[in-house]
Amino acid sequence: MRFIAGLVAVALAAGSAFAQEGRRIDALTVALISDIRSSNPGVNRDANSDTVLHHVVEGLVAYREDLSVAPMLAQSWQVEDGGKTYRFRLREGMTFHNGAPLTSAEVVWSWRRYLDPKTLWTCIRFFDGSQGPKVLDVEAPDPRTVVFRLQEASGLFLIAMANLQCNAAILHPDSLAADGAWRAPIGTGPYVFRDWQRGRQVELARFDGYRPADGARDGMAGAKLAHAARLRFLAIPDASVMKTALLAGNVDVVPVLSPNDIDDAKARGIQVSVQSTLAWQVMLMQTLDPVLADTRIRRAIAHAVNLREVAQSLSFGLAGPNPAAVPLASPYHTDAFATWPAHDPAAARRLLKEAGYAGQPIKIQTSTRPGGYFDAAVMIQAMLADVGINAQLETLEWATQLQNYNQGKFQLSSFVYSSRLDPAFSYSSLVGDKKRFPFIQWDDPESNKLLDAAKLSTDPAERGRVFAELHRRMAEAVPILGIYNPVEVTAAGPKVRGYKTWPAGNERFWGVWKE
Amino acid sequence: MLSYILRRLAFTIPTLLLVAIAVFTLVRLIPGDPVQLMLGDAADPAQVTEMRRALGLEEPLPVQFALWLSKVAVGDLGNSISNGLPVLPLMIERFQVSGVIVLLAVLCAALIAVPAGLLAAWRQNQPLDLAIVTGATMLLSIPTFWLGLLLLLLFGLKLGWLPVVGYVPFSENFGQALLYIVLPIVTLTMVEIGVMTRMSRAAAIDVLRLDYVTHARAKGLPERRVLMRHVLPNAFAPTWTLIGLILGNLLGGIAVLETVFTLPGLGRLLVDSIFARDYPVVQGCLLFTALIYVLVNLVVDLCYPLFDPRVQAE
Repeated sequence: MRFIAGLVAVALAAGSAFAQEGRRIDALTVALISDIRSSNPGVNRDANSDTVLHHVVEGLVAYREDLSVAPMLAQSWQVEDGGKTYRFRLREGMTFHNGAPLTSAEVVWSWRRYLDPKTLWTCIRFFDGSQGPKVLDVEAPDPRTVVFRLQEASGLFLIAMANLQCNAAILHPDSLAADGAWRAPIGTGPYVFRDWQRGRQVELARFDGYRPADGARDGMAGAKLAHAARLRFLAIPDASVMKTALLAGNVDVVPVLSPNDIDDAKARGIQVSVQSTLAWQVMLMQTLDPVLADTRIRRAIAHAVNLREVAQSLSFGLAGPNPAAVPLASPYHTDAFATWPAHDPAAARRLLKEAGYAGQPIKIQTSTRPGGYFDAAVMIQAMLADVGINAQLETLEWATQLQNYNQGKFQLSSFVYSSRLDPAFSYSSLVGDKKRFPFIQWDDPESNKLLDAAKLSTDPAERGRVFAELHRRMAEAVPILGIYNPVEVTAAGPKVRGYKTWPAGNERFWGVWKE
Repeated sequence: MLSYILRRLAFTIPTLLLVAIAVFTLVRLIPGDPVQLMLGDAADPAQVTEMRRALGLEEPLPVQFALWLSKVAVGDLGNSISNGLPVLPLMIERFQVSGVIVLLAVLCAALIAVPAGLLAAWRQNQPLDLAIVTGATMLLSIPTFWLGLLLLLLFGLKLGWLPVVGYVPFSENFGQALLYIVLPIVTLTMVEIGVMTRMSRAAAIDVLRLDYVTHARAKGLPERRVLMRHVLPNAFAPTWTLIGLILGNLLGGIAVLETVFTLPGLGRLLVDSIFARDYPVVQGCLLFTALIYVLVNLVVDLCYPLFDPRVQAE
C-alpha cells in the first residue's frame, strides 16, 4: 500500500514538473505607463518601480491575496514580550542572485540601512515612532534568526513590513558600491535585474537558483514560478498606443485599458480583467473653511450627491459606490460601511436653509489628471447646483492640486487616495491633528483615540469594530465625501495564461506563461 | 570668417545667461513641489522636509541659483531630482534619439518639398500646381499625433510590417534601428513637407517673375536649365532659413511624436520633467535647447552665402 502511495506521489510530482516545464517560455513583454524611477526598492519609487522590483526582491513577509500577512523570506515568526519583540526564523536554502546564501546578517544590514534617515526610505515613518512603532534595534542571534525590538507593541508592524510601496526588501550588501552609492538590486526574487535602458525598457532574467515557497501563488506570497526566461517591461506612455501594441502582439499584457475598449478588445480575443482596487476616489472637504465648518452644510452636500450615479458613470458601470475609507476589497469591509446620508435633494435644501446658506461660492479644485478627477468634479458640481449650492470649478495642474492638498488649501477638492493595504493607513490620512498635518481631513479627539486603538490592536475582530465605529462617526460629521474604489481594467493577449489581478493592483508575472 | 564665428559664439553667452535666469525663475514660479510629487499623497511632512534638505531645495533661491550656475559654468548641469542621474549625459543620450530622427526627417522633407515647390511654381495655377498645393495644405493640417497613430495602425497593426512600440539605437543593431525609426521619420517628414513646399513654391514664384529668368528663357535655354540654374539657387535661400528654424524648433523636442512612437527622446524627457517638477532636468533641457537653436541658426547663417552670393558672412 505504501509502495503504491509512493508511486502515485512520484507520478504526481513528475506530472507537475512536466507541466511546469511545458510552461517555460522565452519572454513575456509587459507595458508600463512610464519608465521606472529607480532600481532602489522603497527609496526612489513609484507604482511602476514597485511592479518591476517585486519580481527581483523579497521581504521577510508579504501580503496574501486576502490582504493578510504571510511569511516570505521568513519561515515563521514569534511575537514576544507583549508585542514588543518579533523573532523571525528565515527559510533555509535561499540564495541571493550573486550566489551568496541568505542569512540573518543580510537582513540586519538591510533593515539598519532602511532605518538610517540618510537612506531616505519612503516608509521610515512607519518604523521610527512617527506613524508606527519605533524599532529600537534589529539583531541576529544566529544565522537563521532575526529579532526586531520595538519601543511599544503595535498592530501595524507586520502590516507595514509587508507594505508593497515600502518594499522592505532584503538585499545583499553588494547592491551598494564601496562608497555607499546605489548600484543595482541583488535580491532573492525569482528574477534577476539584468538591464535597464532608461526611458525605454527594463529587462529581468529568470533566476535559476530560486527556490519557490510552499503553496500556490497568493498575492505577493506563496510559490513564485518564473515560467518566462525573460521579462521585458516597456515604457509606453500613451494608452491608445498601448492597446495597438497589444493587438499587434508586440506586448503581452497592458496595465491600462479604457473601459470603452473592453468590448472591442474582447471581440479580438484579448483577455480583459476588471479589478476593484484599494484606491479611493473622494471629494475632500476643508472642515476649517468658514462655510464648510458647519456640519449641516457638509451633510447637505452628502445628501445632494448621488454616489451610485457618480461611481457608475466614472467606472462605465463597472463599480458601485463606497463612502467608507475601508475598501470594498478589504477583509474588514462589512455592511456597516455602507452607512451614509442618503441621496435626498430635499433634505439637502432643508439643511442648507437651516444653516443659513446664502449662496456663498464653494470652489471645487480638480485637475485633468487621468483617473476621473475632472469628471467627478463636473458631476458633483451639477448635483450641488441642483440643490442650490453655488459650486464653482477650479481646474489646476496636478502638481498644484497635490501641493494644495498637502497644505490644506482648498474648500472642496476632487481627489483620489492611492491604495492603502490596511484601513489604519487609510484613516491615518483622514483623522488626526489638522494643525500639525494640514492634509488631514478631520480633527476629532474621539476619532483620534479610536485610530490609536486600531493601530495598537492585533486582533482583527477588535480592529474591525474600531473601523466601523470610525466610519459611523464620519457618516455623521461628513468630513469627506467618499465616492468609490476605482476599478483597474487590464488586458492580456490571447495566448497569455495564468495572468491574474488582485486588489493590491501590483501586477505579478510569476506563474504566467503563453501557449 | 573665423572672427565672425567667434563673435557670434560670444554673443551666445549673454543669451544663454538670460535663458538660464528666465528658466530658473519661471520653473520655480510654477506651483508644485518635486518631493511631494515623488512621495505622493501619503507623504509625511517631516519626510518631505528631510528629502528637500537632502536635495538642496531648502536653500534660499538665490543660493540655489548661484550653486547651479557655478556648476553649469564648468559643464555640470546637476543631477535629476527624480532619479538622481547626471543631467548632461541623460540629455545627450536622449538628444541622440531625437537628433537622428529630426535630421533625417528634415533632410527627407527638404529633398521632396523643394523640388515639389519648384514644380508647383513652374506650373502655377495649373493642375500640377493645384495637386501639390492641395497635398501640402492637407499635410500641414494633419496633427502629428493623429498621422502617427494612423501610420501605426496601418503598418504596425493592419499590415504587420513594422513594430508598433520600442526603440533600438543604431549602435546596437543597425537593421533593427531602421525598422523602429521608419514610421517616426515618415510622420515627421510628411508634416514638414507641407510647410516647406509652401515656402519653396512662394519663393520660386517670386524668382520666376524676375527679369533674368525671362532673359534666360529669351536666350533659348531649356526650361530644365532655367529652373535648375537660375531659379532653384535663388529661390532656395528663404527655404533654407525656414529649414534652419524648423531644425532648431524640432531639435528642441518632438514630445508628441516621441510619445506616440514610445521613443526615449529629449522632448519626452522635458515634458516628463516638467510634470515631475524635476528642476535640474527642465533647466538643463531648456538651456540645451536654447544652445541648439543658436548653433543651428549660426550654421544656417554661415551657409547663406553659398546660396546667395550677395550675402556676406562678415
